Amino acid sequence: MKTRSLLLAMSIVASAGASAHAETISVTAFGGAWEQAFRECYVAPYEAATGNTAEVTVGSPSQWVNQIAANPQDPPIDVLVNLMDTAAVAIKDGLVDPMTVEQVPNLAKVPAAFTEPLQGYGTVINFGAAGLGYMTDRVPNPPADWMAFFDGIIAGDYVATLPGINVGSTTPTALLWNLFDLMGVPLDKTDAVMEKLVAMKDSGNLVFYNDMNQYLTQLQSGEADIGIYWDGRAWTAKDGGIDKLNFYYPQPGGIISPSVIQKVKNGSDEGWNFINVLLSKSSQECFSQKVGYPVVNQDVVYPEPLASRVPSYKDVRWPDFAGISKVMPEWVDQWNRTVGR
Amino acid sequence: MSGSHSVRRPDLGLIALKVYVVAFFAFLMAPIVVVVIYSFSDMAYTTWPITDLSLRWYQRMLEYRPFMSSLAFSLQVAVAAAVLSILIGVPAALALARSGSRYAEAVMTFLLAPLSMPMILLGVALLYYLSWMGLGVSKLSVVLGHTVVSLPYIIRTVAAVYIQSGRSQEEAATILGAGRWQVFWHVTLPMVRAGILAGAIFAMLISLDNLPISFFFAGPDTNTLPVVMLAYQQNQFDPAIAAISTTQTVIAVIMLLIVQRLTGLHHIIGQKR
Repeated sequence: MKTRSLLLAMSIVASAGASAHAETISVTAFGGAWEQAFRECYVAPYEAATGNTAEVTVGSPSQWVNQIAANPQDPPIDVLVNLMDTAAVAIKDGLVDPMTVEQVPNLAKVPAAFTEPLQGYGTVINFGAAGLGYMTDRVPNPPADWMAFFDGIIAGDYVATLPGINVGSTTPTALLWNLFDLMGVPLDKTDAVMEKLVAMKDSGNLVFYNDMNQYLTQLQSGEADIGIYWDGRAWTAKDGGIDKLNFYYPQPGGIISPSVIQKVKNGSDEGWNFINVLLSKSSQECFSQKVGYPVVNQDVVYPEPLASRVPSYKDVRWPDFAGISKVMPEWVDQWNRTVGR
Repeated sequence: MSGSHSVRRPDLGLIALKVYVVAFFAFLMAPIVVVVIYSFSDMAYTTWPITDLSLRWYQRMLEYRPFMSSLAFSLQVAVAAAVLSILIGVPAALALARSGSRYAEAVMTFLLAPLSMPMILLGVALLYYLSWMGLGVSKLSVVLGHTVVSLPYIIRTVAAVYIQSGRSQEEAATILGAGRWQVFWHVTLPMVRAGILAGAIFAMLISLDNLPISFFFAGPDTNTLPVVMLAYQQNQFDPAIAAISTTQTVIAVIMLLIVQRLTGLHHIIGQKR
């Protein structure tokens, strides 16, 4: 009887100890298939390895950054999935911690190109690249380079669709920075780029899309023949049944759009472990195969057709994200005054 | 004699009006109808024409955990915000509707102010204010935020009904010896009950559809359906979003039918009968 009581007491103490150690952390994720892959490839292995729980908040970076900024001493989020522009805001406002190999050993498997743009306050975890999606039956000979694409709109070679100013994740980089870069114009000198955009608009061969689904509708309905889009989305659409859609990166290359991860300042230190599991080869391989985007662990091997579709990070162009965030208000103002949509 | 065989000419004006009304409603309803049709598509993308019909996106809607959990949470928030709005709004509406104070109109305007404020601004302000109060991103914060935007609908409908009903019945009850509480319970409350119900259901509809406030308070346990729909739509383009939108529309229509059945929609739109 005494032994049974002792065993019972020990089991209670042990279970109490285990529950005291088990921690719940809060992580963020983009919605849809991205979130499902995130749970399966990152959250599940983390929970299995640590016995902790990672609660996932689905939403948007501007929402999360505001929530952290409103509660900096007791943030509701421990690990923040982000985009480059809002990641820069989080760094500038001191909302995130610097990330080192000591805290995240798997960071050693990530090329410096993915951490340097974040000044060490996080790392890219996967990326897409903008290129041109087009309908093969209406554009038999798509332009080989970006400038020829823009000139082709003015010449009337096809009707193109471009992201409107409200497509925050695409327009600043894939369209505006792209034009500044191609034309060799400093980011704060907007006149030449806006003139080019107005010339495209005035040609009558240009329409705009204001969400990612509208782009596909425009191409399928015949409203547009070709336009700027993201690789992963284009391939998913093609595989999903839009057979005549094709995608490529015009010269001098696609424009990168990275997803970023950051550990929130004053958030749980368990966040480091979560990020470490996320950056492991097996987790990253799983995620890339689920969502069709390249990841950053350099040991990851891609199966076909992913291997022949994903670009190397060395071949894509990296916009000046910090520079863009400084001039963006001026770009929006000039866009509204000239292009107007 | 020929005048007795006068032929009635078609009223062209009336015909034109009918055509206009039909066209107007078609214009209003078309986007909703398209969404409903797409929700039964078998295609992985929103393509037209739809070749095969299917319930696969309703199945996807049921399988995608955030849709169902956020729908359940949205319904809870809508009910809680409506109840809180009733508790705050009904006494305020009754007091202001019968008040002789020259400030009553100003106070009423102040209480209806959330209707005229940009919701996104209200959302940011509430996030920082409630965080400063220590509530942060919590269920209570979401309910309080939704109450702020639901409250005007209760106040407006209850005050409108109360003003229309006049004072005579309450005065008669008082003359016959009823106390203040008895007058309220047996006379005033039955008079404004229709307004409370109509306002509450409209407040729930406003809450269910709210994105700008919910957006800033969304966490693992506090995500509402519109926030999840936005996040889904930003990253995925299958017709599951049409299926959940159709479900949400059905819920809204059922609630409006309940209002119409119980009190009439004229209480909501402020139209006299």
